[in-house]
Amino acid sequence: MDTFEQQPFNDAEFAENPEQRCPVVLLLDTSYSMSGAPISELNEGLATLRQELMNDPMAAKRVELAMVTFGPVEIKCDFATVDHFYPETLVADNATPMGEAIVTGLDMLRQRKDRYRENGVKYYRPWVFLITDGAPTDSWQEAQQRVHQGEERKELMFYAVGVEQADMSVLGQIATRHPLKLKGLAFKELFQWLSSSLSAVSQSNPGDAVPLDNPTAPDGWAVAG
Amino acid sequence: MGKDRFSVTELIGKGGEGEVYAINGRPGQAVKIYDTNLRAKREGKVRAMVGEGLAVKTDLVAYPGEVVTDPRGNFLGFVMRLLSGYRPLHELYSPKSRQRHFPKSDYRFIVHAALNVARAVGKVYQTGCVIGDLNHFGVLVAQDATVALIDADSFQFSLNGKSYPCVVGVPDFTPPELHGKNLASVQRTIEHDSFGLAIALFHLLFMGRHPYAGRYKGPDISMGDAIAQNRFAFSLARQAATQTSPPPGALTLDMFPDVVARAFENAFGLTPGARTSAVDWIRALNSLEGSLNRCSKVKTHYYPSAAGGCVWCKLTGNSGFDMFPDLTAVEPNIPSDARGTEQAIREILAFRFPTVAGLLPPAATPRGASGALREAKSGKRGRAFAGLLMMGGAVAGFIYAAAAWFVWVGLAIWGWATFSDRDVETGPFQKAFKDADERVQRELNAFVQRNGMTEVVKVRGDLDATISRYKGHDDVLAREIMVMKSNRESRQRQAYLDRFSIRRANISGTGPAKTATLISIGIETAADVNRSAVLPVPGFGDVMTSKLVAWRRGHGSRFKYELVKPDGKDVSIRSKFWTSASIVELRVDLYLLNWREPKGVKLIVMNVRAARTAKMLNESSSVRR
Repeated sequence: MDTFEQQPFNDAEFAENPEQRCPVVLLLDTSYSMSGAPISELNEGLATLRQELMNDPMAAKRVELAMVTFGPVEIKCDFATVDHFYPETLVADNATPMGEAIVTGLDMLRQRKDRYRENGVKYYRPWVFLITDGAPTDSWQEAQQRVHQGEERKELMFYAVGVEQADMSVLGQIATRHPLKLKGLAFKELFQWLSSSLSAVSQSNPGDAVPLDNPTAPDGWAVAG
Repeated sequence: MGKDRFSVTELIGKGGEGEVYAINGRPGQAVKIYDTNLRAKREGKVRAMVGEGLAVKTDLVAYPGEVVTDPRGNFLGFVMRLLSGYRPLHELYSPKSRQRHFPKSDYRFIVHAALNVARAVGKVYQTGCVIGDLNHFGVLVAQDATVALIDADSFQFSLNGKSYPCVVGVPDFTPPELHGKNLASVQRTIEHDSFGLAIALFHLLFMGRHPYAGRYKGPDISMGDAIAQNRFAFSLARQAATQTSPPPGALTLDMFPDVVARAFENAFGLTPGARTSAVDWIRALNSLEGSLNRCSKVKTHYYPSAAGGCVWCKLTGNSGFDMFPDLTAVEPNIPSDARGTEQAIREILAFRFPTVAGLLPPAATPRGASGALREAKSGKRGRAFAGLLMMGGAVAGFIYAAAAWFVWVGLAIWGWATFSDRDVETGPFQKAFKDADERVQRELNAFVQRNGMTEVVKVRGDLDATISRYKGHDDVLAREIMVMKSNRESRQRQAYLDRFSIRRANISGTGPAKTATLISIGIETAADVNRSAVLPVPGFGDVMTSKLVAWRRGHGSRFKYELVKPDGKDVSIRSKFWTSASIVELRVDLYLLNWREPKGVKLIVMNVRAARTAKMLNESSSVRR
């Protein structure tokens, strides 16, 4: 490190809050089949997620959320701590370009890690959370390969959640972890679980195995897919 | 011990080992009840700690004070001091949380809190314990920067040759030599604690930065690995070895007095035995506290003089984020001054109140001495002349008729006396002036009263007091803005939730009495309800609190966030103050605050009232809780 090394104009967000970060990417299906009850439950679930994370002062400083919807693939929110996370009301239409959405999310994650690195901020293993009710309408081989690679190198944790008639077998091929099937439209319970899991993780130590509540327990939000 | 019967009231907290409750009729005390499976393991240690009377030795630490058993004598847990009004250390050291929870604290406050952390840790050693698991949740800070330690039952403690270990630890605070070890079987030492203490102090002095989080040339490693590999990111002495540099926009060791920089190098160095002790920290931090300078530009900026200039101004210039913003520097001229308070104040100040002198007709001012004085003075001059003549006559008589010398001597003495007596007697004149003056004052008072001048002077005094009070509100307002700015959505949500009164809530179990209790402590609407606010209220247990929180959530889920569209006024404000982004933010926020936020509106309305009628003065200060 010498005097002539480049010093970037540093990010105020890391000056204001230098806590280690726990990045989370939400990949949300907004294809036509989600319209009606599913999309409105999803919207409420997001509001719940935000609220519950806000109630935990440490998680509010450490958990960062980003949101990508598909289709079409659109970055709705880039990484921000929960107090700056304002989910907009999602509207369902169009196809299910899931492969492209996953790749977009993983690209965002890579950029975010670079930002942490530049700013000397430590981070927990990122979470990628995919929620869909269908099957990909685009090519998903690259997505699959990158998810598998990321899991192997312990660079991320990829969770896939299927809603109603989702194609669980494709999800099983993309993810290395067993995909979970949402119990009915229990989005609220899903996001409550996500929030409490993230609270637990954000107070743990990077690399620790954090015991999470089993979502497929009788009072959980999922059924074994 | 434990002979008194008592009942617990409310659940205060839940931790990994058990639950903490308030005690009926014993304010200031709490009881920790261990989970069933831990009771047998903890009993011996707690009894030993109580037996040693640790709780009596200091009240800075929440040591077990009494053993608690069930009616049959089975061990449950212990009574300890209840610490209220304290916040976890991370809410002070993280700039974001600090500006919310300790809005008035500047760097002096932080250095002072750091000193108190070192003192509290030193106090633990005086009682013969080792902390073991020193971390940012176990250290609490109060609004006066005093510090208390909790989780004292996990401290390592030995009595009569038996050691009761500390079995837990947080890797971020664990020294390099303990990483990868089983903490339950390690004998903890003060040297281990010194590492954790230095981590806590570093967080405070370096604005929430962790000493081992920096820019490392190698691959990304976890905090635990960075500590285990001794990569102290801020080290100046070992930079070649650590391969790590401080993160951008952070303070650096060379900004601190040598004694502090050395203390950190030693604490995070390679020799555990050389780590800075609590006593050494007190010395080093005292010297830092004594060498703080105040910035000439921003009066809330205090910085170590060793830095050679204001480090906060420098950081603000680098990132645009001010660590210690001067909240009183908010522009008094509020563009959204829709109700004209500022305008009214300007008018009040500009208005020239009539003075008494201005109301009186110009009077002829007498010049020189008055007639009576002149007369008296000329009379005196005559007497002096006569005296001179007499003395002259006496001298002549002495020369021409020396035989009658006694006549001449007498004449000369009389003449001298007459000549000397030239001073005018002042008594009558002073009396006359006093009488006249009193007459004038009486006339003036009557005149002033006839014209309502007393009223004017009083009103003016009251207005001045009100205006200065109003200006004082800027401080409060600025703080509110700061909080609101951070979160526009939650403001909207609060406003929305504020519409649902607790009186109309209809929650089973909350009768009028409970509702009144809530309202009495300021929980009036759904916006005021949250777990931490309701739980400590007498009569609200876990179940009731959950019901209230669920009620709030029910309303909250119907809330829809509306994006605020910039309108004409917003745009014009933005373009007008384009040059300073922060001021624009502030102005727009004030504008929004004025128009959209019921609480903000309340505040403004209150101020306007206060400024317009002095009578409202007292009410305005009591309206704001």
